Amino acid sequence: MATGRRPAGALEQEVLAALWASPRPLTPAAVQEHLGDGLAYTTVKTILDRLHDKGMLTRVREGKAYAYSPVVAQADLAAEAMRAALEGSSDRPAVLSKFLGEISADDAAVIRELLGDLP
Amino acid sequence: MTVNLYLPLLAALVLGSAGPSLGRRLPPAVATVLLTAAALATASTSLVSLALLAVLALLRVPRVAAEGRLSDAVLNHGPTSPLTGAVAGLALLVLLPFAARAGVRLWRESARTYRLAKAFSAHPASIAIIHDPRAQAFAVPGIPSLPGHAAIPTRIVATDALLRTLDDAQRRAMFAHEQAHLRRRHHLYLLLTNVAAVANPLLWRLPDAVTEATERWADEDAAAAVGDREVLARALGRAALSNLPGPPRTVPAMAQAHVGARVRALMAPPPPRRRVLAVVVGVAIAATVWASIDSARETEDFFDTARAAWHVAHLHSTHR
Repeated sequence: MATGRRPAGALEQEVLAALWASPRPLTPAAVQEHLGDGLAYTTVKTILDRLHDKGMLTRVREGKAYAYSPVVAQADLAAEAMRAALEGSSDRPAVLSKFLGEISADDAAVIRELLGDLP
Repeated sequence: MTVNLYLPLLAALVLGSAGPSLGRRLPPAVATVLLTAAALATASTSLVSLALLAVLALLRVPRVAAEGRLSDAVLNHGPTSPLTGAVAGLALLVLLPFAARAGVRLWRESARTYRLAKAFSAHPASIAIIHDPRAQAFAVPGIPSLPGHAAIPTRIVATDALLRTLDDAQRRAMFAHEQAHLRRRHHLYLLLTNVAAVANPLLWRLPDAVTEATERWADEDAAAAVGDREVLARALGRAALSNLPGPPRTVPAMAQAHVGARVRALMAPPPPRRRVLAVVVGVAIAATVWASIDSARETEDFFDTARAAWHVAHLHSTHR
């Protein structure tokens, strides 16, 4: 899918994102499958171990390997600030760019027309 | 001289009204850079023009002119009339509250973004995920290390709802979009345009126009990074629709880049370069700056003339 090289931090982001998107804990092999592009098993394992050491993941034994799942952030300072940013004036941002603006009925119609009902 | 004095104000008026549609006609990276440059150039030169007009209007008061040893006979034939002075003063009074409001808003938003970046200092990863039912993501700009102040690294924030909505390839495209915001330092363009709009509220539509251009720029960058335009279009479309059975809000006309327009742009080939239009805009910016410098220089010449005339008149009166 994507070309091999990723910018710094991107692997970590994708690993965490894959774990969050998954309904159950993932083994390194399963994470490797999500990330694609023939990443080495040891690379994925190293990232998972590091995130676990930082307290961002929990793990349970599943056969020979560990299966990892994300730790849901507590009400810490960052979480509070993030929520404030999420709530903040999303239709007229000053310096913070958001992935999505408010969606209007027109936008929804255009999206359905171009991409079908389930993009 | 008169024309040069008013040209920056005219340029700000034109840019303020035509900026958004101009931005949509240019490729997004060029639009971002040119709109920001145009906003800064017109904002600063129109401040210069206002200052010159204020000085010229003030010097029409005979006592002020005498105090400055300037000939009021010359000053009264200057480039301003009492009418233009009154109009400029009135315009200033009308625009001032808008400038104040925009300034307060910018200050608050910048302070909030700073607090957000700072709150992340201790966060152990470059991505932070919040548990929230809305699909949303944003990039938090970092802050370089300053004296007495450690550097704050950049972060990407995403909601778990967004991560669950997208598939693996779509998530990668979304991350590429957020990385593009950080790598291209889009927040600086937004900050500068907002500052320009505070300095001259006639430019009030520019921040939204630049926001839209940076979103399209990040879309183009991400599409190039993952080598697939459609996968990002689908990521945007799916995430946007997943937010839908909330109240579909009618967005104010000039709000953020419409997601529908972004999906449409991604489903079409990459935008054309439009070199000629870009050069025309560049020349217009240069001409505005030149006009401002020229009007300042000519105002100085005008004062020299008035000073000389004062001396001539007073030499005559002492000899008589």
